[in-house]
Amino acid sequence: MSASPTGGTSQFRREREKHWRKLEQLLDRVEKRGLDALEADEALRLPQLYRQALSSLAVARATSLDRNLLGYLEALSARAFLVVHGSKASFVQELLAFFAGGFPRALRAAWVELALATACLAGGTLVGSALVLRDPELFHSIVGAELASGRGPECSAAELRAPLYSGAEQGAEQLSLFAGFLFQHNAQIGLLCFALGLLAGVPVPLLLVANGLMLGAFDAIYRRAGLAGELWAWLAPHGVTELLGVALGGTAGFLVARAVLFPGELSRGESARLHGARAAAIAGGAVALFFVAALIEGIFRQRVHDVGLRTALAVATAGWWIFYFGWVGRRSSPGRGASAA
Amino acid sequence: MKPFVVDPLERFAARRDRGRALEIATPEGLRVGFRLAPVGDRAVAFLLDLLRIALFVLLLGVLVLGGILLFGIRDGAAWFGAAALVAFFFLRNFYFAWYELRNQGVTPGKRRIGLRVVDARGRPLRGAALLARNLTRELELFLPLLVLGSAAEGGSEGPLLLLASLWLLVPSLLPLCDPLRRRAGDWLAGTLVVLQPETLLLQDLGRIDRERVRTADALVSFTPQQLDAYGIYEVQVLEELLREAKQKPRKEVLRAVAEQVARKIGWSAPVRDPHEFLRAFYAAERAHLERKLLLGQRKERKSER
Repeated sequence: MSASPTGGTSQFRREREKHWRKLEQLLDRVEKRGLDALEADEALRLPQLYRQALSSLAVARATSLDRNLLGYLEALSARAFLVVHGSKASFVQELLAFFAGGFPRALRAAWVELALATACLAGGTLVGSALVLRDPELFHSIVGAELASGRGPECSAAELRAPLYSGAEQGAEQLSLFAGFLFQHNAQIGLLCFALGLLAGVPVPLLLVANGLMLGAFDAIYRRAGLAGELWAWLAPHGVTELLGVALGGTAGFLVARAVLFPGELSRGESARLHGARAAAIAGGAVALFFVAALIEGIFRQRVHDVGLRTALAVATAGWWIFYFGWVGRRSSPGRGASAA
Repeated sequence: MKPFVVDPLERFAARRDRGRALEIATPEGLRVGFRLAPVGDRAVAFLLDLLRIALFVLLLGVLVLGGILLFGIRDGAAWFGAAALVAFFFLRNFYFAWYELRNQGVTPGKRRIGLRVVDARGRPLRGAALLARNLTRELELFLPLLVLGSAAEGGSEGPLLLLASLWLLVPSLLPLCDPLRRRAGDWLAGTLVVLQPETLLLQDLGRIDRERVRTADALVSFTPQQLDAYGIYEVQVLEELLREAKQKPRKEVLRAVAEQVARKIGWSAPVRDPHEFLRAFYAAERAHLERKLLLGQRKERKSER
């Protein structure tokens, strides 16, 4: 028995410690300032040092009884693992890849939910229109006073017509405020739709149908005054995009609800993870739609009063979205898009 | 950075045993241990982030005010107001996701408390998953508060709203029921919040520097029969004791333990310096048990044969 029983594991530590210290030092810098903090050769060494630390941990677990050493190697490996296997895509890159293919692909994969959301919205509109046409007084129980802003079945055609062509007298700066408000208001509702999916999705169709009912109620009072065409020319340029955005929010909500309620062959957790990220991507993408819609609504619509031009823009936006969601991103590999989405 | 808790060892010891342990499998095939973040830590980190958001909002307000002063109430309020509205929207919905995506699952508040979002399966964090985990905050926190607030205002709808808020509270209370402390958003995104692992490598107590020993007690040797008296658990307790003794020497405890050990192994020579004696015994005992470990014999406690 030697008097200084520095066994094998002390020697193991002496030989490897400098690598651990080096790794620790690199990790300190990366955690503070990101991977850019490393020189090229250091960035190459990081994964090597990480694997070395893992092998040290495996050896130490089998041979060492030094509790501090074991804890240290465990934590060091964990820290390095998070850096080495963390996401490396830059924010901008990921965003570009998303809009260049991931977004339309995610929506195409959720066509059932999209159809359901669209049906809720359209069904609400038809029912609202039919109800108010039969009993005009229902208008006020469907549309809140704020949104109606004085309009109702008792108004004359001229009174109904005026708001459709207002805005020309407003300056550009007022319109920008209007557009900003519309954007954040609508996009917030779209995002909320996604989160509401967690409540087993019950509030999602309610929200969609309620939106449709209001639209239908407006349609009915303008139809009675013979102004339906002009109303839709006023609504559609931004409405195509905005209603699609609402439908996308509903799609996201339905996706989450499906994951929660009907996981199928997956476990509920796995199903949530699979659909949750896709749903969030769709809801996040819808924000861009609301942004476009608010620009059209706040600026174009208030300036352009020609029914023909308004209709042309509505048709153009509809065509663009059909093309974008129908065809964009079809050819590039879906595997990459799925990971970006 | 940190205003209090100066001693790194104390801090390390305090953090080491906090939170439930869990393991994440690395693609290299080794499972690495993490510690789950306690709910309280997460709440504090969230409040810190909220404070930061409030600060940004204040800044936006100042900008709008500045715009009004510079360009007049009409132009300034409109342009700057529109920009502030849009900025507020992004702040409200994307603050957390943006930071977590950029800094590998760490927001400024989480960094301060030492927390981190990780994928439960050890995969890289995806942008969409981070979005999913953070967009649900609206539902988990603000919506129940909003509905509860309007229920408190009373009116004929009061009781109904109270009922609705109970339902809305279900996702908010999820982390308290889940053993992994996942929020609804974590569950949807497949993420966990863990304590940032802290690395502190202390001196190897199994190594004795022959030139620097103070008394002969550090150089004593033991027979294999004497070393068979203890197991792994006892060695690691002794390690804790010796490491503590380095910080705050407690003479009488060390003496009592040294005497106990001497009795157990049948040590007859007098022990002059208990600390040195225990160091020597620890080094010998650990080397002895580690040797047995190599032969496939793992003796967990002294009672095992």
